[in-house]
Amino acid sequence: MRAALAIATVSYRQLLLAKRSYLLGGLSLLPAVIMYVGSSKMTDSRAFEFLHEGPSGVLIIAVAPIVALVLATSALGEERRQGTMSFLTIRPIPRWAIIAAKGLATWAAVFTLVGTGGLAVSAALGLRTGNWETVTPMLVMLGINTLIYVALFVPLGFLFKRAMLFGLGYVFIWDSGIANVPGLSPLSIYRIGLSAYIGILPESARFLEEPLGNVTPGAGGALAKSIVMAAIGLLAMTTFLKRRDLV
Amino acid sequence: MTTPAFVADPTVEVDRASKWFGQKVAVSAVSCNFGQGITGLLGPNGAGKTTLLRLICGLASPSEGTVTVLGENLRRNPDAYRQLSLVPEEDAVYPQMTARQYIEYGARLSGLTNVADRAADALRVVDLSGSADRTLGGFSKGMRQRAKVAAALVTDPQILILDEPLNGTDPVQRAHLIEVFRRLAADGKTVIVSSHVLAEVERMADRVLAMVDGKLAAAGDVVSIRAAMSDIPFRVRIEGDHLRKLASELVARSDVAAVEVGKDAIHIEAEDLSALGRDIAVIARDLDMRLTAFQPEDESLESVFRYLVRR
Repeated sequence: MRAALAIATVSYRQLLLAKRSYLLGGLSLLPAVIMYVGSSKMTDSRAFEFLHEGPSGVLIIAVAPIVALVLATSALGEERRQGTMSFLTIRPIPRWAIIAAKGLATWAAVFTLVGTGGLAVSAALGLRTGNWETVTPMLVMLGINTLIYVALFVPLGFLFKRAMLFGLGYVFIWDSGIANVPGLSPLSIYRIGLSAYIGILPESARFLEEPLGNVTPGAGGALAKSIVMAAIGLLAMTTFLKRRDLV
Repeated sequence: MTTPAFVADPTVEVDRASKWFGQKVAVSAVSCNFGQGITGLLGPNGAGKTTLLRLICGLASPSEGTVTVLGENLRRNPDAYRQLSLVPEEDAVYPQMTARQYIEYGARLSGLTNVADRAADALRVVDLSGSADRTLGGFSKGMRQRAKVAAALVTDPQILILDEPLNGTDPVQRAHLIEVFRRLAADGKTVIVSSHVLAEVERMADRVLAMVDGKLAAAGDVVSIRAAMSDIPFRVRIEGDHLRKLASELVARSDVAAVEVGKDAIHIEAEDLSALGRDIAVIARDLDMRLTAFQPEDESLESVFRYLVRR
């Protein structure tokens, strides 16, 4: 337990203190700036619509997956590239605990950046209109989305040198493109988070359901899906680390 | 078993272990064991030393055969890693960490308490206390090597695996590290050191296992390995005029095993290179010929090891 905690703490610090994280942090705050500046002369209801037409869409469709992709692919990938993987694995720690600690730290780092962006964009609406009801759903949505992205991108970063390319392909070709086909929408990560967001917001916000396609709104289902995805990612990586050589 | 490749009371046992990567055989049916004291794993680059060490550490699994550490298969029982530390050949350090943070991290990963004191002790052992709070990214190669050794020692392992640990170290650091390893061996630890430099291994190892092309080529104490190497025929290239006359003269000598006449040179295999070197000028003068080159062709350690495999 102490060892897993050490891995999680060190990894979290390493991911957040890297120079690129300052850039990613700035990127995460960009939607809030757009929201605050763009809604300055809007009515309350128009500002609420504007949040969902622009800034929050940018945050969940582009910023969150990009931040997750950059940090998650480097979490184990960098250990492998710089040869420090053996520093972790030649220890009295089960492989699943190493992966779980790494995954948890990565999710926490991604959520720190993206969650701050989400909090800021909701706060921008709150400051303009006094409507603070999007804060909790925004954080839940981003928490769920980033968990799934991390579960997907950490193994990707470990297995492939071109993980960033594959990840960008997934985000922009699959998630934002092909998954618009109604039958495929349940396989779209951002829609899983969005279903939680809409599920928590009051009935008056149900006009946001359109992009969901076949996905049913509800936080419980979305949370369950994200936990299952994280468990699959953990299991897959543990099995891989146990069976394959670390060369 | 007490042949040179085996010791009594082993801590690490390798039984007909092979490892191949696709078509390439990295380790081929190696059987040996390791016990208390320093064992040098000697061989040219690409001989399979690092792969064998990776098999021992559980970083790779054997394609055939078994490897156990204190009777355990490390890949199945990670708890046994409490007794083993590795200093890998590559620069496996976190460049943004200080030496102290790196070593404390290693201690925490092994589930130890009192990590600050342990790290301070380990830094003292490798003579890095003065640079403990500098980041590893700014260290020289030799200092990083010492930081890696400290990170391995902080857990006080029973078995210490060192893959080319003296790479990049200066003569003073080298002497200091060798002294550290000898002290550990005297304390009853199992120390396995790989190197491609015979002189390095000679200075620290009680026992040597020589590997070539993935196979165990020779085993024994340093003196016997040295003796095995002393009767290797050396290949020499000789250039000059009247080479055929020289060849017929040399073929009659008892210390020349073979003579091959080429277009511009003759190649000979001689058992006593220094005697031939002394005599060749006299022979050339007697034959009234001019020598332009007398060059040993395979003095490399690799050729020495290859000879050992053929024996």
